[in-house]
Amino acid sequence: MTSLNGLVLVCLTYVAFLFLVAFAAERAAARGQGGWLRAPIIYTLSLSIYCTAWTFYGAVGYAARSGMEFVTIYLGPSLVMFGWWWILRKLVRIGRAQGVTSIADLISSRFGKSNSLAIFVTAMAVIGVTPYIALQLQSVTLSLSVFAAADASTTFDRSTAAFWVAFGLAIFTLLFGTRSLNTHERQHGIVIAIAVEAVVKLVALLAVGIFVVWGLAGGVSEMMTRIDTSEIGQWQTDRARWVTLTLLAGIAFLCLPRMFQVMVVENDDDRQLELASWLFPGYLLLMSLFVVPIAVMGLEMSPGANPDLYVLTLPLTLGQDELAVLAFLGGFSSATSMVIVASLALATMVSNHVVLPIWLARQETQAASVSGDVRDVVMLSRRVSVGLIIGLGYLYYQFSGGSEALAAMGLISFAGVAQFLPAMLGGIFWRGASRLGALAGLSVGFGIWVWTLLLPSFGAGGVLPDTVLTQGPWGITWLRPEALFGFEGMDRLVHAVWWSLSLNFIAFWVVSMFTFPKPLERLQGAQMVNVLDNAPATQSWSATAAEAEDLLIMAQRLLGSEEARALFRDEAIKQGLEGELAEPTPAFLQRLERELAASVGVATAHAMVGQIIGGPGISVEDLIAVADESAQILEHSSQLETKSAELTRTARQLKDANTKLTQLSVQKDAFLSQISHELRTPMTSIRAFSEILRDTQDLSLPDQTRYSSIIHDEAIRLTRLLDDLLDLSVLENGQVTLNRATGTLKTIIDRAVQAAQPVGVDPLIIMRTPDAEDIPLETDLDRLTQVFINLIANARKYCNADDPELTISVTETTGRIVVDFIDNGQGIPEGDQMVIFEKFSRLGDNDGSGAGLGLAICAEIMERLGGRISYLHRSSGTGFRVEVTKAQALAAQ
Amino acid sequence: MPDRPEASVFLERRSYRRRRLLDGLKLLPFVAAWLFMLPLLWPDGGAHSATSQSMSSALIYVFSVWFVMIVIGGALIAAQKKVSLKGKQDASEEPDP
Repeated sequence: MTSLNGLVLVCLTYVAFLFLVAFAAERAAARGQGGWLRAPIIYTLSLSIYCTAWTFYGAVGYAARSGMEFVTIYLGPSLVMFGWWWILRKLVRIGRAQGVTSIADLISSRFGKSNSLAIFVTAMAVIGVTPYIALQLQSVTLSLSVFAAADASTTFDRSTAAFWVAFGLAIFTLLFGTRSLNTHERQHGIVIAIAVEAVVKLVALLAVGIFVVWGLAGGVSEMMTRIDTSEIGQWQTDRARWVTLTLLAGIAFLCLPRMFQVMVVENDDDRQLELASWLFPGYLLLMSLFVVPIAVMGLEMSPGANPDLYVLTLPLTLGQDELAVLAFLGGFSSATSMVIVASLALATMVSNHVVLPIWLARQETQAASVSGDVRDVVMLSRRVSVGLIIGLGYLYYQFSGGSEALAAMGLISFAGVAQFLPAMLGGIFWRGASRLGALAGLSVGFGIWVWTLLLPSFGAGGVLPDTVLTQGPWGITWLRPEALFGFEGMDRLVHAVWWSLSLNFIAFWVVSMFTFPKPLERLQGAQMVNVLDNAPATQSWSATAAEAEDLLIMAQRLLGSEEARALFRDEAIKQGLEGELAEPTPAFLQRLERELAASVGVATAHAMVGQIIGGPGISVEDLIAVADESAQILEHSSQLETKSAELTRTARQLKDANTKLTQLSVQKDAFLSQISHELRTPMTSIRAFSEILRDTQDLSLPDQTRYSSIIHDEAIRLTRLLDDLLDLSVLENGQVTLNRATGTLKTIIDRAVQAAQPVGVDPLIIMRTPDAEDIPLETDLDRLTQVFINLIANARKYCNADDPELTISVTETTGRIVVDFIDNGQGIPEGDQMVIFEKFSRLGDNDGSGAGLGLAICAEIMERLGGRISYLHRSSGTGFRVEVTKAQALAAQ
Repeated sequence: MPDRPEASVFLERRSYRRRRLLDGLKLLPFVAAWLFMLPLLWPDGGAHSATSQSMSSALIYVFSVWFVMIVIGGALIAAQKKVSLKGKQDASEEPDP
């Protein structure tokens, strides 16, 4: 018989062996010979921490109690592995791309690097995994008690034993796991130790199984007959439990913190996953292959014993001591590997998401860059967390009485961590998932889990009084923990799982639909959902060179002096710089943040870099605000541009006007001297001739007549000048009265031609198109005639061609009649075109025959008549266009 | 009509094979889930022991399905690797068959 002390010695030797293996692996990795450590087979074996003491001892007990149902716990994960292409591929890709350190980190990172979410998930994980750790303690304690019962030399107290087991496991974990800070640097030592333990527990279980089938039963067919004749010889399964447990095991496989650690955080490439996708189900198959035979044989040979311990008691009762010790080692392996990885994963979460943020917040604002090593804080908090978590497991074990079946305890844990699923899967597949949605789903699911499964697991009168279980809290029957909403008679686990998961999912979905995620959430969401499309990184920082030193100091505190320097040097070389200090470019800052995230988690790393860069760095909100602002600036500048163009236009107009004014002023001066000259010339001759008439007595009659007619002519000229001035002033003041009459255009032009061209003597040839002129109109005919006369007279007077010619053409367009007067002269210089319609403007030579009022009068008249007169720029000679509105023309018809 | 409609619509043989293998990989978990849920349709044991399944046959069924799925999964991945590896070699040796 193996003594208890001997057993402890075996355990210690085994642990020492594991240490050696882990140490050797880390040495090899440090020497750069660790390539084989990343072999897919090692990865597959490390996944075996799914198989804990629950599998090793509990599965047999489970089979002895409920038959084949135990196998669902392994079918679920097998299905997940078979379907690696759907979920796991994406999950490990995200894990690698984002430097995720734990499931809390993944969820918080997905939902905008939210620390509140990380804390919540961490708390849930700690509470959810506690029963699981208690399970390991219980199994090791139970297995020890089996040997103790056979060893009369020692007294064995379970409670003390459980304490020492917990203590031993905590020390073991601390020694193993909290040496390297960077959880993202693969923990080669631990991984290789787990792989070794995977082999040990598989070999141990297979050995017991082979012993049972071939050693006890005498072969496969005999074993089958025994199975069929045993208590569990019939296929008897609660169908709801079968489905629920398969589903739950699959979900837990994804969500358990320790599984996430080995599956996602420790993953190096897709090849590992490819191998594990079929090899790991194979491992599970082998682990469960002999469960039923062992259970059947145990039931047959030692009825009344604890079925959870058949693996041990069968060899022991048959005197197979070596086999029993091997089995014990297998169970011990299962328990230790689970406790190490689970408590480390949880401790990382606790220190990264709870302790470090609180510690950082308590420091001054510039805490991240003052001297001192944050690594000490991180390490201390991790060590304390490990102790705390294992301590919680011990308390749960003590509190729940240590009496429950192992499988029942494990399933409570499964249901607890399964609550992460909607947030996790929703986060990586659905861009619409929002932080508030995740919080809502997690709290609803977790709340229901605590109420319907965790609290009742302490038994009636444990935590919940008996009345609450039977009548509901405050007598509200539909809130009874085991019959929510009045659905009675369901299996407790099925009831809890379906309600918590479905309400969790609904809350997550509905709240996500009705909330609007923050920009960072949306960016992270897009990055994670599209991770397989190799979406580029989004986060951006900006820093000045002055901050590079602070960044280095901070990095040294987290990564260690050498590593940080190496990182900065490497980056400096990449940037083509001399020296050790890399420029803090956005790309480098992002790399740095990712490196730090591997040590302290995404949210904390973000906050720490943010502290140095100042504020939260350039957050996406800022970017978007900036984008808004620049859009406004753009708009503003385009407005300015418009305004400036307008101003330029106005200035040009003003300049034009000014030129015009200056020109006019000059012309006005010229005109004033002109008009005084004009007025004086006839006045002078009138005075002179009237004086001659008056003073000369003997003037011949012809002379008298000649002088009188000169006086008369001059008087007429004066009158005409005064008439014009008067006319213009009347027209300008709007005092003119129009005498509307009907006539045709033809008669008007006829009259104008006659009036302007004394018969016979004139060299001006007037070309007309009489047919087109036959248009009736109603207007002030005399005024219109006056305009035409003026134009014809101008042509006659100023056309300097050898054979002067004037073409009068009439066109009728919609709404108006256009009459063009175009001569074959040289036209009006462009500079003068602007002023020809102004008063007193006279062009070029002045023979004193006009006062420069004609065209001004014409323009005024046409305005009064509702038409318009303009200079024809494109005509060959001097051309004027008179437009008469047709409304007047039609009205005449 | 475009010059070579085949080029865009149909894949050459190797890519086609690779895609079908991938389809198999994607489908595998659903087939496995269906087969694992099949025992739910079996008559329950208890009183009517004559019609119920024996434990040994249930054991054999579940473990056989499990084993076959593992073999198929492994074979699909191996075949896929072989096809893509061959594809790479061929591509480097003879660019355009």
